[in-house]
Amino acid sequence: MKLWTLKTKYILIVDDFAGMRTMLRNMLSPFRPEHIAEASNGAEALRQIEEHDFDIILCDYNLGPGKDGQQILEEIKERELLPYSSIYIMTTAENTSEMVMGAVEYSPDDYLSKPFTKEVLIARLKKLIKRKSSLKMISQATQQRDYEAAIRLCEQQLEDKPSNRFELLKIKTELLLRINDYDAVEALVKPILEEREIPWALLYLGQAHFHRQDFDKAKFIFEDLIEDYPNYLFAHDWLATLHRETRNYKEAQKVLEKATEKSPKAIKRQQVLAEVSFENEDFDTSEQSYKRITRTGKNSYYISPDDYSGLANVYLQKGCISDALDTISDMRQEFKKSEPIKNMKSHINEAFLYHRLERDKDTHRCLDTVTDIFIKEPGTVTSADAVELAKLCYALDRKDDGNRFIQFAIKNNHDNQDALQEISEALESIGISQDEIDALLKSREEVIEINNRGVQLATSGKIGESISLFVKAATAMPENPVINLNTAQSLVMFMNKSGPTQELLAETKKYLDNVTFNGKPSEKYRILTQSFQQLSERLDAANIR
Amino acid sequence: MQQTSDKPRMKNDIEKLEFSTILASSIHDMKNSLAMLLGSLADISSVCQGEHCSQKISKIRHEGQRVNRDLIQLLTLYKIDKKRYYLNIEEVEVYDFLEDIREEYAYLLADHGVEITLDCDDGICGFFDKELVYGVLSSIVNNAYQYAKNKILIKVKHDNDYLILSIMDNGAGYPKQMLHDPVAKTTPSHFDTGSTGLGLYFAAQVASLHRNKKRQGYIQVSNNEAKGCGLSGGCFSIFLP
Repeated sequence: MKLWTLKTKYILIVDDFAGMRTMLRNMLSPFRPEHIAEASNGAEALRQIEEHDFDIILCDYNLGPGKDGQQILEEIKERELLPYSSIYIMTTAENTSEMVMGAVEYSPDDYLSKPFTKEVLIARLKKLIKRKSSLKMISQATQQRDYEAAIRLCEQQLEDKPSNRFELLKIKTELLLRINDYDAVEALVKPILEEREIPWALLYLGQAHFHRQDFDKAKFIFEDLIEDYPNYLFAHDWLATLHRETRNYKEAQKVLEKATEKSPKAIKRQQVLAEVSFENEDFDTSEQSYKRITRTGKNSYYISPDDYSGLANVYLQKGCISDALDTISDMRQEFKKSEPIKNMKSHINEAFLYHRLERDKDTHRCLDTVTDIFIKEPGTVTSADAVELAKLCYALDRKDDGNRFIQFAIKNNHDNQDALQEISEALESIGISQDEIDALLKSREEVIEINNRGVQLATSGKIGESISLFVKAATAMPENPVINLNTAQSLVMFMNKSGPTQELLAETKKYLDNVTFNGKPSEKYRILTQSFQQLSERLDAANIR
Repeated sequence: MQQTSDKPRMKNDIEKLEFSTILASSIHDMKNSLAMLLGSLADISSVCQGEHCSQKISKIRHEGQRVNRDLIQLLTLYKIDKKRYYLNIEEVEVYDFLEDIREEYAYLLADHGVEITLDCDDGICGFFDKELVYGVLSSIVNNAYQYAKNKILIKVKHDNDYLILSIMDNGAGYPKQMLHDPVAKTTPSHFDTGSTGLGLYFAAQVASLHRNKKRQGYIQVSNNEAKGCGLSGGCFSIFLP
């Protein structure tokens, strides 16, 4: 029998206490790991994870000032820095049951409660490595958004009546929800529930009812769940969503208040509460909630300039002008050095707030900045923001800038009738004439023309030219699905001919990731991700040789 | 001249911490220290030679583990009392779960020549709060090993919609008053006889928190000499619906 070893594994140990890191190292040492890295705080851990794909991360929950273990996990999941095959174990001296019942967005693969022995650590690692490899194909298909293939794989594995039957059933239900197949969710979950009342199964059944607009049934399930499992916070979230959908905003707020009381550190839930209570004109609650976000969420990936402008808007409603101005300057400070998108968002929010304060000079100054950044990096603005910015520009006699933003939104959505309709209506509502709107909508044709030219270049063998044309187009309209897919396709065609490289694969992945779907991805996307996968495997094989 | 107050006074605006917060953070600190202590001991024991020395070390480790378990019990019981403990019921692969317990005690039992056996089919699934039941079982195993001659058996079966986890040893069995005095199962009334009372009280609390379709969990303590269902000593069972 081959001896179990950690020889080839890249391991990261994160703990603020050097003694603890050494101890963990010693526990692993009999299994001869050759690559162990250490980090003493969240920032250092993130830096290392950005540079390296780790197979195993052992991370302490409580890391002192800065990010905690949960915030690190959230950030690397959101930024997709953690490969699906990696194992993330949270070591903690606190009681973990409070963390697991939906208080958090993402759960680690396992919790290890301190103190633990070497034997327990190794036994867990062995189990997790085995489990990850048994789910490898399913996670791979899911990551490629080939949900149907992932479902088929679940079914195949379930045929053997494996010991992780419930885990597979849960994964399968989640996949069915992703492709919006709610009847199948119900059919799958009902027999499970006859066997045993399981919170997740009930929650997913409630979601299926919700999505089929069967709100009474869904409400009944969510309320029951909360009654029986008061700490199951996902049930609170769904009940609140349901109340909002059915326009019971007061009820939604009550549910969220209860849930945030149990999980004050969960920023996303706090953000929803802040928004809902603002809608309810309960400005005290909204203020309190925004303050909690901007104070305790400082290290969270989820904090955004919108939280600051939300708070500033509360102050404006209350007539506290100086507090609002302070909050604006806090926002500017806080996001000065953050990633371009958040930085841009803070400038955009600032412009809108100054406009509400009727400080035209400041508004223009902010719009100048926003326009400058936008021209250099169009990807920092979303279509939705662009439409709002355009409205503001028109109101302030900045017609050229307004047109610029509107055309950007139109180009992003040249193929999407619903979105175009919304844009037209937005323009109508601020008194833009139909002729002008039609003239703006002409920019659609530009996109069609570029796209056709790119496809023609590619099919006539001029792949290099096709790539540069599409890359330029995708930079100018980063949300456009047709352009992004064709950019990825031209890159794939190039690699099929000239061989894959790490850089080109990363580039391709970027364009594939720019495409979003509600439910099932398109056939074209599926075929492209398959080719992408084959090319990555080809590169891996070449590297091994 | 205006007088200022001569002494700086303690202000009342210091936020008063809830006792559960104080308890939780103290326990958090203690557990961190214990983790270091036990870790260092494990290091020492790997280099230390001689039977006498290693037995002493394993005794210390054992006591350290016990302190840890007691801390967890204390916090959990406090929360149950204040109705602040919420169960986290999940499906658990029982074999894997029990193996964790066996691994935890591997060194200790080996040092004392006690053998631990699992009688559990692969693939049995249970539904319970992993952390709580782990606490219960490890404290029972810890107790059993002190009384066992050389064998401990953990047996699992499904019966009448209950999952039954039993821990048996081949020692002298539980003292009579524990079997006959039902109070001993639910209240720690015999502190002078050792920690067993609190351990069983904790076990009974944990069991009764588990409910499914109107059924409630419970524990049973018996001596097995006549039954031949396992070993001949004490037998502890927790019934989980």
